[in-house]
Amino acid sequence: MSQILGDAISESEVRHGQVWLSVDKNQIVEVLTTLKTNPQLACDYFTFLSAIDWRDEGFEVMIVVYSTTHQSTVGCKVRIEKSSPQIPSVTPVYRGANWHERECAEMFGITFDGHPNPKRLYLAEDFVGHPLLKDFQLASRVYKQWPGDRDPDATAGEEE
Amino acid sequence: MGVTPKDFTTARLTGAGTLRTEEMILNVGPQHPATHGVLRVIVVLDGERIIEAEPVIGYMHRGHEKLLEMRDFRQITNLLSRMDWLSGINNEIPASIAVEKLMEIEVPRRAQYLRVILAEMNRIMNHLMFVGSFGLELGATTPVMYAFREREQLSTAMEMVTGGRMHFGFIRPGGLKEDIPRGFTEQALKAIKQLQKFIPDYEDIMMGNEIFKQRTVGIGILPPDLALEYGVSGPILRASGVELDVRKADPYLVYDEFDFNIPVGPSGDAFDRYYVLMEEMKESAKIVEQALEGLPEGSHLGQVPKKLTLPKGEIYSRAENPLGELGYYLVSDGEAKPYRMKVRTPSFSNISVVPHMLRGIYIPDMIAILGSMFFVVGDIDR
Repeated sequence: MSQILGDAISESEVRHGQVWLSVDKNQIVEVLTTLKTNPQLACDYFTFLSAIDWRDEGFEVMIVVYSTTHQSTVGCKVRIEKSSPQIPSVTPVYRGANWHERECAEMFGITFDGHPNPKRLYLAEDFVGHPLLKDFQLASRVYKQWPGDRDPDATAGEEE
Repeated sequence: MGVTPKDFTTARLTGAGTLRTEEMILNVGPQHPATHGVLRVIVVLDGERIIEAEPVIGYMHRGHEKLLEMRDFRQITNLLSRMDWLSGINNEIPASIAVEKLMEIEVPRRAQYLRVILAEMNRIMNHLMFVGSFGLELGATTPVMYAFREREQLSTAMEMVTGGRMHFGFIRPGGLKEDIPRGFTEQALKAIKQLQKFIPDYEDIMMGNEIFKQRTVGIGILPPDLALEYGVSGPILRASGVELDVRKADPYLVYDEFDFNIPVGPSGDAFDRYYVLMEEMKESAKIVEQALEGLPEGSHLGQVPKKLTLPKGEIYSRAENPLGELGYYLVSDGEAKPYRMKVRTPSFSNISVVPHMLRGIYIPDMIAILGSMFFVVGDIDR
């Protein structure tokens, strides 16, 4: 796989039988096009797209595809800076990414350049903030801490 | 100039042609029986024909992914059970598998078998619901009564084990909350036998019905390549001729020890989707029978520490939910709660392909197509 994809991949690992690649954000469209069209890879099934907020270390966008021919899962991970949260849209390659990108955009504040329909998906138009960011607090939890948030060790004695 | 004979010929074919027509926008839902739940579809109509359709989702968005970050690994079970409310057990299983793989907990074989039994019974319960509700949407009110009769027996069996009829919250990292009670095996077998006895009724009442055939055969054809590109999975994908089932492609639990088939439809229309559902119930019934027969002795729970603290790591754990591929991407930063848990639900991807299927069809067919896409709004919105 690294021969076909070449230097677009900076790192790769196999975890629990799934291939995970680190891809530069400027080459993600190219890499996914190769994954989809190259008959040796043939990743025809779009699994999901999402992101992780690594606080000061920026965002990590993951795009996971699957090959029904080779029964293999390939995940691409793209690091992006919080100062410029932008990544090219992969909807032109996999049309199924459309909703996933819209969700990811509103939840993390990431812009998908070239998305055909960059509207909000779940949230109301007047909603302020990006809920899945680590510094976004749930209003009700500010008022009262989640009652299940107790250490099982500390309460174990009380129950018996 | 008066009217010429040519005008008469034109009028006979198309009317006078002077009426001004325009497109109409119609909101179907959010409260509409065919959307079972709160899904809204904005359709642009030219007469009775749909030019463009856009589903609007989010009316039931509960922010599961955010809430999951605040609960420890045992507490998330109850939340996940409510995501796709028709298949609680199936939602819980891959989350526990993710925790077990990261912590390297060994799950006893008895627990694995029991998980398979409960998951397959839950799958049948889910399928029965859609077998009934699809009939209801097409105007047949009888099948849903039959479906609930059989579903009741399965619900009773599930209730004996878990105490719940919908939201089970029964799967724990390492195994199950409790072992099965006395009498469960008999009740489960009774429910399965009853289902097998009555499936021919469903087949002939629905699939043998002339009206049902006219409403479904050749309606809403989903081509396999389009389905795959949109990440459509489960019975809907298999009805389009793609043999993809996580239970076979990437076996989890002990599915590789059972003998069952993957029903695949030839044409991907609404009829095939319904037929696949019917066949899958038979296969699930076979699995439950095999698992009950070969149920090993032992513990229902492996060696699990009192406090679950996961090592740093990431894992994508997936399973075959009744409606398709359910996956959890779990990121652990070494704490007792998930750092991030992405939920990939089947209905979300399955329903995103709907605009393609609704283009150019007539309104009544929209009901048949939406009904045959077997979605749960809670599963779309999370």
